[in-house]
Amino acid sequence: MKSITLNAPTRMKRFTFAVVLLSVFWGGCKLDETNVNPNVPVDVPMETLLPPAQNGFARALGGRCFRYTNIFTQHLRGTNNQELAIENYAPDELFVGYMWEDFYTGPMVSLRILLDKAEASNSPHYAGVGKVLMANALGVVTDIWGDVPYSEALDPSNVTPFYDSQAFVYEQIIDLLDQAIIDLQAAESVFSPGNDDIIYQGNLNRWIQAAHALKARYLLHQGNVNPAAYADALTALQQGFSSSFDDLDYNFLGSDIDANPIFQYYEITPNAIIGQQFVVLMGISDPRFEQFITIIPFTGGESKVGPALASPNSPVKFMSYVEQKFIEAECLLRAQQTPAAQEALREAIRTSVEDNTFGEVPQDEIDEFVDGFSLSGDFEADLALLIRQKYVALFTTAEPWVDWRRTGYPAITPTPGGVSAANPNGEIPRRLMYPQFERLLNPNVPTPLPNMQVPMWWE
Amino acid sequence: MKLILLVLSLAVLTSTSAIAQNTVAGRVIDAATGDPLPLVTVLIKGEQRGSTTDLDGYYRIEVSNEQLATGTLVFSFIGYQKSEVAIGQRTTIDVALNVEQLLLDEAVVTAIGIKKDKKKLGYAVTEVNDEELARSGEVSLMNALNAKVAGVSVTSSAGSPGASSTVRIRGNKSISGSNAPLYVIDGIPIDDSYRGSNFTDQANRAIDINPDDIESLTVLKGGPASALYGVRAGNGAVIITTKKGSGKSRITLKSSYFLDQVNKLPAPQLRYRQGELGNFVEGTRFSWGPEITGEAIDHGAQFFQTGSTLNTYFALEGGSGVSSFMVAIGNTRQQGIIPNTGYNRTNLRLSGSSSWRDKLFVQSNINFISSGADRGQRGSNLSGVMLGLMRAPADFDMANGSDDPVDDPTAWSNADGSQRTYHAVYDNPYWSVNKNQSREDLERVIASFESRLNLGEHLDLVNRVSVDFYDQRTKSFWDSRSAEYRDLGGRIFNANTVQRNLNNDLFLLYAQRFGEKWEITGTFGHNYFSYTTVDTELDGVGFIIPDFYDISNVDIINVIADDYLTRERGVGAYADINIGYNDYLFLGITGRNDWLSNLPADNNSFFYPSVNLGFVFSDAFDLQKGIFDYGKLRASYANVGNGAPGVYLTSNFFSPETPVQGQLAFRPNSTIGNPDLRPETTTTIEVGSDLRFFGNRLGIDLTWYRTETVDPIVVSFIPASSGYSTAVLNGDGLIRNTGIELMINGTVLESENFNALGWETGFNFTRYRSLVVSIADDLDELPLASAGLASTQSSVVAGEPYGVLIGTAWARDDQGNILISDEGYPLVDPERQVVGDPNPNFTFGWRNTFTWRGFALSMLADVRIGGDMFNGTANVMRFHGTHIDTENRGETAVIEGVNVNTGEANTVEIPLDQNYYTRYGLVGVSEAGIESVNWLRLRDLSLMWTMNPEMTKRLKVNNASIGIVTRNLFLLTNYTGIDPETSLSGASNSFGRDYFNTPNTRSIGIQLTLTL
Repeated sequence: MKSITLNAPTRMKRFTFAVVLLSVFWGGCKLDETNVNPNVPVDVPMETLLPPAQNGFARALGGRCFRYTNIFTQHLRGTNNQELAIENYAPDELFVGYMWEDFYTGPMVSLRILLDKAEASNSPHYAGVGKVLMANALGVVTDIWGDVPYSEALDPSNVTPFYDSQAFVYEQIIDLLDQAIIDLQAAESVFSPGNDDIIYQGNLNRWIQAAHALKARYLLHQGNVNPAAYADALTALQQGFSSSFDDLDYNFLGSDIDANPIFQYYEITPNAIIGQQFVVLMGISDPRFEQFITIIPFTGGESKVGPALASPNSPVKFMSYVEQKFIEAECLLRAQQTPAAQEALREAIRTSVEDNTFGEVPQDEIDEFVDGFSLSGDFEADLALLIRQKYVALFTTAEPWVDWRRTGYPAITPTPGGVSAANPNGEIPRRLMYPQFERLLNPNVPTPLPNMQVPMWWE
Repeated sequence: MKLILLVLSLAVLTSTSAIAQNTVAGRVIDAATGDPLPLVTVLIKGEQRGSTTDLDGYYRIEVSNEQLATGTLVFSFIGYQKSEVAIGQRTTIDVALNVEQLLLDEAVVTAIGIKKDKKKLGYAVTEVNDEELARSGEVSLMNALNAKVAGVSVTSSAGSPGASSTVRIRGNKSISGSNAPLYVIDGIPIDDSYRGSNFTDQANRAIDINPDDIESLTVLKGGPASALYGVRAGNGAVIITTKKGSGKSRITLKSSYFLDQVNKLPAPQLRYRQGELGNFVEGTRFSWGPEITGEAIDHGAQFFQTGSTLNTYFALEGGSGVSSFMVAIGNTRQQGIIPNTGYNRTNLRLSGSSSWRDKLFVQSNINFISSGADRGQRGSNLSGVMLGLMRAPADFDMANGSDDPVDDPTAWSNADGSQRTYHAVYDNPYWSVNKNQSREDLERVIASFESRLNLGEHLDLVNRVSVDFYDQRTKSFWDSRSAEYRDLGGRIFNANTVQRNLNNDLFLLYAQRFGEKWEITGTFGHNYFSYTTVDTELDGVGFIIPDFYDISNVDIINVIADDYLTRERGVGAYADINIGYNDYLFLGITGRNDWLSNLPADNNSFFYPSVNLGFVFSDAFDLQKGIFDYGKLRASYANVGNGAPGVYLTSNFFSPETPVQGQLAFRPNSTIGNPDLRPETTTTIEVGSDLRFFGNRLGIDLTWYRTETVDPIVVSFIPASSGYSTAVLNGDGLIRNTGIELMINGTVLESENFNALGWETGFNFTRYRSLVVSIADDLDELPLASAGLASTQSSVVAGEPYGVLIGTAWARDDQGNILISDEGYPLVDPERQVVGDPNPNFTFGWRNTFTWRGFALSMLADVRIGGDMFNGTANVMRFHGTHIDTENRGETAVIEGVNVNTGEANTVEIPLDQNYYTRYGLVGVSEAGIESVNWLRLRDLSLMWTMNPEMTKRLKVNNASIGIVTRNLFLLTNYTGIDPETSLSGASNSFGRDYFNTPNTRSIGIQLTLTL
């Protein structure tokens, strides 16, 4: 007993020392292995990045982007929730952020990694596909917000990227498309897309066509500030699509998991009905009417996007032959080549009608409908007619909002009561506010924060 | 230090050995519990010479021949009656000490399950006994703590059976990590995971504890008390001691039965029909139609049923000599207020202890828990029951005239099997409870084995190993024709969680008295823990055959399968040294080093100390005079470290996506990992006093504290233009909580005997202020992660209290006037901002218990003053025209504010019509839904009758009681929605939001206890 009492502190110390030693051993050797995530890879091949990037871009375009832009253009009328706030030109910056994320943390970051991998592995074919899609996404984003991060964006080592001017972003878009055209023609590529390319299954010629067609679109957008761009657009689209079969679009399987996002939206939260303005501008005799608009039974007269655009397997179009033909018609019209412009316009309308009526409308009726569109030679009237038809044909896409801001057509009137602090004069918005987390967390966000009436650079 | 110990020991030894001739030895135990009493002073009467008992209650003392014959031993221990025993030639004397009638100093269970004399602690602890826990008749231990302990707040997420509860000790400290306390049962830390869901009220797993198994519970409020549990107890700890066999043979039977009813619902308008702009419109979601001519239906009143809770408990204890055991089985069956919901739990517990030659003591506890829950749809969920009820027009009968609408399909479905509802987008609640269900089953084993080796008079070596293992299976489905997931053709979600937590503590206990004045005790230990969780999920959409809800009923290409292994380990070394001087000055020092797996290897080791001082000045200065009996001052400083708020946060990786048309898909994980994480630390400074008066009939315990959490590890939102949504930050952050806790206990009328009237009163008051000084780096604002409802979020904002509500607000000028458009409508500020603070100003609980002739009438009043709640339910009801407020349609009003263009006071009169109520959208403007909440509730009221001693003797029972117990019988609040004690986000860090939350309940029941 006595000896224990005497020695206890010493023993204790030895014991404590042993405990600490043991702990250091465990702590040093094995603990950090425990924190290696065993469930996920640290690196993945390009073929696993491309499919979700394409799918994600389609969902982004057919998701919030569709709702925001088509409510602004009055294709739709927001009746509830965020859609009602958009209708009143008072969107909530938090939800605006979700759309921003649809692009930046979705397809764009995957494409950024894909492009780095393509370069590192000397695979220009992947690089070409990635650049076409990146250019397309960047174009959609800048046309919504104006100045946006690109040169420093999509990099985990810099969470506050610099905001590039919209003019610079447009340069980048054209540059990416030019590079893509070269990359896609490369003779050698260590890896090339195949079945992982859901859109074209690795058909590089189609991607080259798509690059040219997109180039035409983003040149056209610049026409107001750079009139030579119309001619450049005409040149570019010569090598674009030759029919709507070539369209850059994402085809959904129509299964429960892989269904068109507009279809899914109307299955669950139909807070946007068809706008009165759209009905008027299309006209109820339009052969596409029932394909574009559905009146929902038992809902008190609510309506929704029709089966051609919102069936489970409806594609989401990134860039189409129809749009290309409208671009061609506008550029020709601006070059005072009215007859050629009329031909292109009729081809655009005809293709749109044929593509969206699935053979259910007799050919002679289509012919009669298409032949009803003639250009008069009065530039403003002709432009108004052309843009109005483009407005109808490109329903659900983001392009009609761009066209309205570029040309003022169709001449839609603002929703009453659309005055909000973010939209001081109550007119139809010309851009969207920046998201909450950019405003709060990125010191590079433009100051003062532009309200929704500040025009685009290209206006 | 070592030298002093040596000298002191030698001094004691030389003085005793000189005159020793005989040895008297024995053991001192508590007469009531049979627990050994360590450090009891054993003196030979008339001499200053003596000894003390060791950790297991054993003592030895040398006596002369004369003393052996005629001497007397005096056994004394604080809080116990002094006992004098004549030696009478005996060499073995065992003594049982009785607790002093006026229990001045109590032994409380502190960290690592070590009992300490409360007098000797330099920090605040609060004990709650089994009787107090049982008074509210709660199934969940967490809810049973509500309003009973100063500094502890409890919010049940809903009145659904088996729902989660948020327990906070001294407020929230962590942003991304859990703020829940650590639950420790008999020295074993147990899992309290919350797997939140936007769809149903999931449980947090502390619900698996059966309150009937609890003997007593100690709340360690943080700082020094929890330093010994390390990182896991940074938010305080709830230390539970279960009932053990006392060695006597005894049977306990308990049974209770409660009826539960909804206690409060939002008021609907019952005047106007479904419709728009004053006209009836079939199929519309709105109730802006014409006046109702027929019967109006109050959907809430029609739908909710009376729930019930049946609780049964049986325990048998026994033992002989050195061994004792206890078997207990408890069963709880609950039926919810929502049809087809319920919760049941069976707890089986075996506990036993034995010893060998006074050298080795072993104790083992095995708990087996089996529980099941059927949960209803709730919250921000199109199939939600409250959502369906509160949005529905008063002229549409959800029940379709049926007497039994739950089981009668004609109430909720049409002939073709489609859903019968007034509007295609929301589910008929009767449909929802039949077609959208969530079932959870759980089996859990918590087992521990403790062995204690007596290494001599002053040293014990203890090893305690435990495993906490459970298997939780959840099956949730939504019919293909239900509102939620209709777009995907219905959904089935099977989740299986297998969790295994291992814990081992190996420690030395040391205790010794040096002379009359000095006493040293110490604990030196090593801890190892390892958590492993495997989550397996099968998530399928698109049912093929109607009404068959199984994963086999969806196409395999529509199934996402995943398994996810989460693992975490930690190692700790700790020491706790307590030095007592003259029984009035007590110094405690603790230190711990942790090594954690979830921090980077370079930074995974960290040390944190604490020191506490208790000073019984009434003893030191001999102040026990007049009305003043006892006074103690306490002061402590403690540092507690913490690791990352989750695992795998130090690196970047790719996450799997749903395969795209058969192609494998990955994307970069949306969180940017941080390889430079450092531990966060929380520092607590606490001072307090414990004063007693009037022969200990009045006790006042006052505590002030400040906690500061430095450089919290934050999973922050970042600008998405980086390509990533969140990043793990660990920069300059500081969260400060300051609070006051006051507990007053009084015996107003002392019951001298069984028949006299007694009146005990207890008051506890909690007030704390939190301040987020900074979050991390340049981050000024961050929503707290939570499921559901994005429009209004509980957030941390630099310069604001923790958890403030961020949302949309009215646009205002510099003077704070609301800006009004030319048309007369208020404008909305385009920037989201702070619209409310959900932290209460203060809360208190006041218990009064009256006893008379075996009757005990007890009531606990619970008051909360201040703290905002976002009443999203009301906002949405106003939008739909179902809220009572919208009965004023047809009237006009001038909104107070100034014209946005002229700055003049607004004079434009606007009609209060559908246009007005719907113009800000479904959830409306957040600010419009903010309500400051006060309440006064009668949390429990019980009347128990206990059999008197003569009767128990005659009937040969130990004890018997019967009584009526009520819970939440009465609630007075200014909140216009359901009972405001609710949280949309369950047991997460986000709080203060009500969005179609399931209402709370009031209960009345009968309770019976019999001990044989």
